[in-house]
Amino acid sequence: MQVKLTCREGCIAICLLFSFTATAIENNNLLEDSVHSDNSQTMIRIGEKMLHSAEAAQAESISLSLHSNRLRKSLNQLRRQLHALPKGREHQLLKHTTDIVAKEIPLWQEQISRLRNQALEQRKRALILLEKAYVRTWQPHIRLTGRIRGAESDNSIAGHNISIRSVHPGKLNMNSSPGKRGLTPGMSLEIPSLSGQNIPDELNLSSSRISRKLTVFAHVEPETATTLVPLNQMHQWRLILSKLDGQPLSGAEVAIEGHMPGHVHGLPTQPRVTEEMAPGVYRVEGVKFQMPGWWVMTFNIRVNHQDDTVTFNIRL
Amino acid sequence: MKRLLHLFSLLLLSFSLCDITKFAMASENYRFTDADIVFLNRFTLATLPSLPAAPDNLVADDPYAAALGQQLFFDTRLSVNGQVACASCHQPHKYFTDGLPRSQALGTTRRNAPTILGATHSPWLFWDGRKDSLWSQALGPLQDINEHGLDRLGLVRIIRQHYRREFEQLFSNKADWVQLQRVIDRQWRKPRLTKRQKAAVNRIVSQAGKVIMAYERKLQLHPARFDRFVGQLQRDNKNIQLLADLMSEEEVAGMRLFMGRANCASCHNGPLFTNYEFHNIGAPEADPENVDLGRYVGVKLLQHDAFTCLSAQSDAGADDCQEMRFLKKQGKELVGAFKTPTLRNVAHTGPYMHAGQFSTLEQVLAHYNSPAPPYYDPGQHPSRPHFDILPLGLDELQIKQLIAFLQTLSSPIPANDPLWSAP
Repeated sequence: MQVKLTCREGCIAICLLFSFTATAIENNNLLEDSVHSDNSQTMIRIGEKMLHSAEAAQAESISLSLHSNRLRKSLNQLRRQLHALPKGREHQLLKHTTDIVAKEIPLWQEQISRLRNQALEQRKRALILLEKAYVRTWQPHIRLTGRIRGAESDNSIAGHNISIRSVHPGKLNMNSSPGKRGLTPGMSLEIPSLSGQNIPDELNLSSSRISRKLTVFAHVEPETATTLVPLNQMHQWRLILSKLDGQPLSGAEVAIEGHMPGHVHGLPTQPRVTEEMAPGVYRVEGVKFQMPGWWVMTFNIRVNHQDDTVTFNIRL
Repeated sequence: MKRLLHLFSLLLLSFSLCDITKFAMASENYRFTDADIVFLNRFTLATLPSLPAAPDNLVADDPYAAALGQQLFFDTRLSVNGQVACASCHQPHKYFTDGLPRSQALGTTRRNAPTILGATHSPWLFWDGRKDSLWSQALGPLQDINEHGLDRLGLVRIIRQHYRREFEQLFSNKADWVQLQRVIDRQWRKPRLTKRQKAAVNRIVSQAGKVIMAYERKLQLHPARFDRFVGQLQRDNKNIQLLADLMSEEEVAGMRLFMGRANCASCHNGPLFTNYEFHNIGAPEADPENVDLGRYVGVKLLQHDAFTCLSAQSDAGADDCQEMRFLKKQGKELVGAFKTPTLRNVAHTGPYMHAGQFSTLEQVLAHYNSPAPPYYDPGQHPSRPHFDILPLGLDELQIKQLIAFLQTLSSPIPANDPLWSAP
């Protein structure tokens, strides 16, 4: 009985394998079409579809992993039964079945990883497409595309508590290595440098992001003449929120948090949304960064009792 | 004889060789790249920004107000016993400090008296930043029972007695004086003030703070040896002799440690050697029975203060009060955190830390070198205090060099500056 069930599951897996390959091909075609399309709405529609398809692939990969795990458990059980059986015809039959099941497991895993990669790749492309479309839709409110930049390009600025980090007293000296300092090119002074901050290279620094639960598209930019972030000066930001279909997200409650991952400290001020200037276009006041480095700004968004979060990485 | 001569010349040669290596090592320490000089220049008084705008105090830059403020600053009559002036604890010849761990006036204060020099550049005043302007800060000690010990009406009464004409001239506040005439004359010991009278009292009290601020804003720091050294580096970084005349090799080595290995410049940066922020460096708890929560309480006091930039007594519009409007009210890092003090004139402004816990720079450096974590009492602290420093692991020589460098931050006390003495 056990053996028959697992075999059936194997068949389902093989069918699924074919169906997903087909979806991937279809999505690729959609992307090709959209590149040639100038219509932002179409781009959003396609991007949305891709995003949901990526989500579905991801969900399926998870469900397949559960099946695969179950299959492995059954296999172990079969092997134990086989071990207990005396040599003979029944033993031979069971061994044959066990071998079939054993061969199936790598196929499952291969499929799972393929699905996972496909989901990631598709999600990435969907986001690129969506971002392009949203930026077009939200003209002329969006002046800044790409990453948020600081006005101070010179990183050798006084290293404002660069090496300061709050530590738990029980873990004193955990992260410190006195004597080891990053030397700044062109300097003989061993100033506190940003090198100790471990900013990941692949950090997404985009000023436009999709929320964690994929319900909100958000864009931020400093409301300064140059759209650059001034250091140590209170300034304003513009926050644009739209639903996934490109429509403005009005009346959102927004809570803002900012921190430096390398330093365990937050912003010196408490910025907040003070006004919705146009539907979906919010004014954020009280933004101030007291030092260069990697900052993470998190916007917790609540609309109709639904919460979602958008996070931006900034390298000043 | 020939052999003796030979020996002598050899000796001479070895001595001069020794000198040359010594000189080479010394000159290495004095060698700064262009980027070094740009970096160091950010710590000099030459880059101190102009006075920050003070929209909450219309007389902040009025010379008449400053002159009046100077009189008030040095006037001991502005106290319950007639013996305490601002200048009692902020003495000009001690760089506007008092040299005590905790100040002595009517009683003993809880904290150490910080210098006034450069204070106008800080967005927050007091060790815990419980005031957002110098004018509002000045009103704190005047009303503190351990300092001047006055209540608001008492202060108004003294001002009327000695400075009414000047206040009227500056603030055209005749109506307020008339409003308060009866209450000051007849019932100042047990006053029952109407709403309008209370408002008039608060206006005059805040005006007293505003003229004191106008005076304090005029106090200037004069270039210290460090500033002149960096100035010389900018003019000519090759002339080691001129550089060595300004800062010794030990001091230069200390400066290199300060900017680098010792992490001092992480918080003590900019022309005033402070970032004006709040940190917990685990200074020993002055009173474990009644722990000092620092900035944690400072932000609470700010929100209830009657004399902030957002108050009725401020001359600013709400839009001008950005720091107050976007005040950071929460965060574990506020617990037991104190404002980074300036290191200008630090060699002459001990004892150190918010309650004068350390009497010498050696003790301060010993703490930074191997700090004990902050005192934690779950019964008193809202959460375990953050600890913002890491042990430095410096050797004795390096600590000596650092202390030597700190001596170069002393500005000369101006001999003939009328602002630096009682009017």
